[in-house]
Amino acid sequence: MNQPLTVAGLSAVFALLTAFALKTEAALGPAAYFSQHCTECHDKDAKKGNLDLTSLKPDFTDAENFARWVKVHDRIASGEMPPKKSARPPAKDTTSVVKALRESLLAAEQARLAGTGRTGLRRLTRAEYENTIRDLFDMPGIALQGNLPADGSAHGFDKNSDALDISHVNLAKYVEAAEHTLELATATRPTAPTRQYRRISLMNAGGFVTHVVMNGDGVLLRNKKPDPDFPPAGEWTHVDQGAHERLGIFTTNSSTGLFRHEDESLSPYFIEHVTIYPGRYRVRTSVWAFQWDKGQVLPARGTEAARLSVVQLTGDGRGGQHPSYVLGYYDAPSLTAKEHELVTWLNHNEIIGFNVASLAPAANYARKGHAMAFTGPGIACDWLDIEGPLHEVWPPVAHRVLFGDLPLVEFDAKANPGVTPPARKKVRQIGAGKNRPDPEQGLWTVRSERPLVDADKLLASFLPKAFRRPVSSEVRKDYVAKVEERLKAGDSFEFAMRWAYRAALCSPDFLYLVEPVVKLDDFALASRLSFFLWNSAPDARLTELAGSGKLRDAKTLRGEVERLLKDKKSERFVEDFLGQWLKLRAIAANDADKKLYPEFGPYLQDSMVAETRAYFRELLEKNLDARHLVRSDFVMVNEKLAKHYGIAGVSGAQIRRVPLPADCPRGGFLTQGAILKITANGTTTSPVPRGAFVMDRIFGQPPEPPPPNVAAVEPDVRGATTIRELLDKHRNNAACAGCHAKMDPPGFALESFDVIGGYRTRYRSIGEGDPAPRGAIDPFIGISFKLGPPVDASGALPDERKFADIREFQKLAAADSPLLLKNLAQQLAVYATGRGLAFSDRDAIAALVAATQKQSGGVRTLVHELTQSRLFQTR
Amino acid sequence: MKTPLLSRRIASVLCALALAVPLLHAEEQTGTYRLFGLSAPEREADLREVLAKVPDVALVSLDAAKAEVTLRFDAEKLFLPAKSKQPPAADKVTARLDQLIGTASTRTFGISERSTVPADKLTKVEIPIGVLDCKGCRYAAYQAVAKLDGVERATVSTTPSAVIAWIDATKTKREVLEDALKKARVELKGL
Repeated sequence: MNQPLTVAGLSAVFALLTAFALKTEAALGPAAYFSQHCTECHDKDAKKGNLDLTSLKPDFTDAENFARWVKVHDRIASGEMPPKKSARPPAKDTTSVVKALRESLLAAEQARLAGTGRTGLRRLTRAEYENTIRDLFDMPGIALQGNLPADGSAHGFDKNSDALDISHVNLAKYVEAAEHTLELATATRPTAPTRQYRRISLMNAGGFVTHVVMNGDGVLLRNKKPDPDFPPAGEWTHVDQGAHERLGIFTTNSSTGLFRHEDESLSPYFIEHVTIYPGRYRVRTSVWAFQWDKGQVLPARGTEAARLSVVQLTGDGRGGQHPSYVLGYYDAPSLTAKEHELVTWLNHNEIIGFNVASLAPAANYARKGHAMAFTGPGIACDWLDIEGPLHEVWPPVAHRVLFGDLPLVEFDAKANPGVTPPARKKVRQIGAGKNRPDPEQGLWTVRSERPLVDADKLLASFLPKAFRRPVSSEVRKDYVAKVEERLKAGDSFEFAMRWAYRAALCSPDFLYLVEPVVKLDDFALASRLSFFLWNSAPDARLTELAGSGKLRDAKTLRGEVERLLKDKKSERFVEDFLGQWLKLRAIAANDADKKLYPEFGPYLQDSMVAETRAYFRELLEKNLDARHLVRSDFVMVNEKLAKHYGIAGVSGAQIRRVPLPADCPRGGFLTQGAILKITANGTTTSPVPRGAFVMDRIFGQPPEPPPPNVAAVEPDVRGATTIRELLDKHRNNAACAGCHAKMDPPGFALESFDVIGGYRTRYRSIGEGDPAPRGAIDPFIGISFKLGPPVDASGALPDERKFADIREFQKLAAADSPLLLKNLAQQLAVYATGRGLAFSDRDAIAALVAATQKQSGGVRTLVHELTQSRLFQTR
Repeated sequence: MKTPLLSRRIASVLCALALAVPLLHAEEQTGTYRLFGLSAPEREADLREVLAKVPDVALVSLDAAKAEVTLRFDAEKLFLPAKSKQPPAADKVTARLDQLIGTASTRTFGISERSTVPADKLTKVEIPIGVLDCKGCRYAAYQAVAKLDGVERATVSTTPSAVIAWIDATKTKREVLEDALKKARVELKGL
């Protein structure tokens, strides 16, 4: 509808004209431009897209108004507006208006931000806090973040000050965490706890594994044959576990062969070691695979995967606790025992868990004939060795961080009248561990002949490390005063020092990233770099470079970025960044429907996450360009994923680079199982959330939120109607069509993949449909789903370029490499700087992209360019 | 009366010798006991292994049919240095032997005084059970009935698969044994 401008509207446009104060002689000014090309649809009557330009005030101090004008700028600049069906304005007019808008917006924003730091003062995230403590005290597995309140999120990441509020709950938890840390860090005995070695069988007294094996979910094997002293459960199962245990049936060094996967009522673990002393432990195990055939041990179908995990015992240590975290998946070759070894940190009351990860959930427990009627795969565990705690030095590094080389002595109450003896928690063991605490050695503590002199010396060493910058003598004196105060109150030297350390660990200097306004100083730069690539505080070398003023040197900085990326600690960056950018943290937000996707399980899920991390790592390592975000000629898979993706010739649990067959519809993040699962709801897929995810996370063009009062499109799992048919109706609504035209195409392309990332040509259904072939699904998994309507993965981009399937879509998406690189640059910049990007940052991002593209456009290059940029080096 | 120093020394040596006499001259003895834990013939070897681990106790003979064992031991050596000069009572010796054998066998063997019920007064009960091809399971089935009041001895046979017990019919009956087996999850045939 072409409607003349009202008086009020015209005055608003005139106001715009004044505000922008720009009008070249040859081109139209903004007022005339809007009047001629925009207000027909965007006046107070039509108000398309809820935009009334005639009343939109050019008041850029108002954040909401500013954002609307940015949107107007972007739509005109991209050519999306005026719409294609309207007459095209002369290019010079558009250029002039875009320029005028841009400069006005920039001027307004720069005025607003002048003299202030862009990145707000922010505290450490939970993960940063935990990593920082781990690194500071050399306690690489101390568990802290689980007890801290969850962090919020802003601009897609939890590192933003907008999301990192602090409350009395946080503070109370920080005090607890600091006390726990100091408790663990302080040596309270003259010698290290005895290094104990134990060889443990999975079949052990009182264990669940023994119970289920007695009922046919496993067998005892000796020399790769059924153990003659414990025949497999057959027509009758074994009775009275205790009687067998007393006869020593399970302590004959036989191997335990398991058929049954971990489930709700079975959580296998090695219960004979329950960690008493937190520390590093060496864990070794020997595993192999076999095919069980009603009493016979035969060669396995291939290499199976066994999982080791860490299980935290709670309560009295009984009950079937499930894994806290996975240590790894380990190859179990056919009939050949393979030993695996790792050194890991174990906390108090943690034990090692086990699972026959690659086997299908199968149970003979209640099945007639039990093990003697069963034919199928099994994984045997010969033993698990555990040795520790491993201490190379005593007192440990953590203690030395706190107390230097002060001697440890037995506390003498008589020689210290009026001094409260240091309190010690009694070492308590729960569960059925056979490892035992060492005999009590008395009350040992550090001794200082000159407490305040030593306190000053120790704090002079500790505070700069904890605060990540030099600490003035005034600040240090404050902490020494705290020590003095506690000594006067009757605390021992150790406890007085711990009081001061606790204060330091709960102070803003430790909890907050303190950065000077505008240009970062060298120490702030070291911290920014370290929290970016290690998610933790800078190490000694970074601090030293910052102290000598050399870190800012471009070559040095480049070298440090390389060093940080090569260090194992950079895995934290990969995990944390992907966890948020690609929402990997939400991988377990829903479970796949067991009827529709019975083949889904924890091993597949963990493999998916490992794939996405390994893929990003590969992009970094090989410095691959941004096209690889959506397309590649290789994947990072293990056997489990390879089978899931239909790729042959991959054996074993380890993720490795595998070239893609020519006809394989995989490659890039979009076709990875993790991304496809995260963007589905466990039962169905919808092009809308998937498309929105791709537009937002991959292309950096987040769609508008849905208008109010518009019902969501609910996919039909009965198989009667396809999602595309349902969406077509939805898109006929003019209010929805605009956004869906942009959002749906990527989602349509991804319709080729189901909720667990499997490729499909027909939808699965639990109602109507044809019988489904088993395909690559494990023969021990029952299937009841059917095949419903065919999948249509075709579509057209908003610029009308069409695609027939995912491969054609990947090709089109990869062609927009600058857009992909720009988005990745934005995501990394937001993550690394801890703030959202402003309108005025766009030039900096564009410069980053341009500089990266000049050097082949690799992801590693982008990280280097970002760290060298002013964007990164200013607050 | 004054005692010369030498005489006092001789006296103290004689006292010490007098105290040591019971130890120096303690005699080994043999005893026959009722044996628990001999669930099947294969357990005989286990018993010999267990007794080899018990200090100062030796196996003289084993009557598997009667579930009786004859042991040789020095009663006083079974105990910690005694406060009393009196030799330990027979029931205490039996209890101590049971404790030592139980500890060495993780409570899978034990002894008690011999049965006082004449053999001709015992009733043989044979309860057919499912195939127990595992030593642990046979022991579990045995254990379910062996210590029931009125069961004088028991064994588990593999061919045919059955629990066989000799009971004092005035104290117990077949049904009690069957219930005990069922409670232990031993499958009974024909039920």
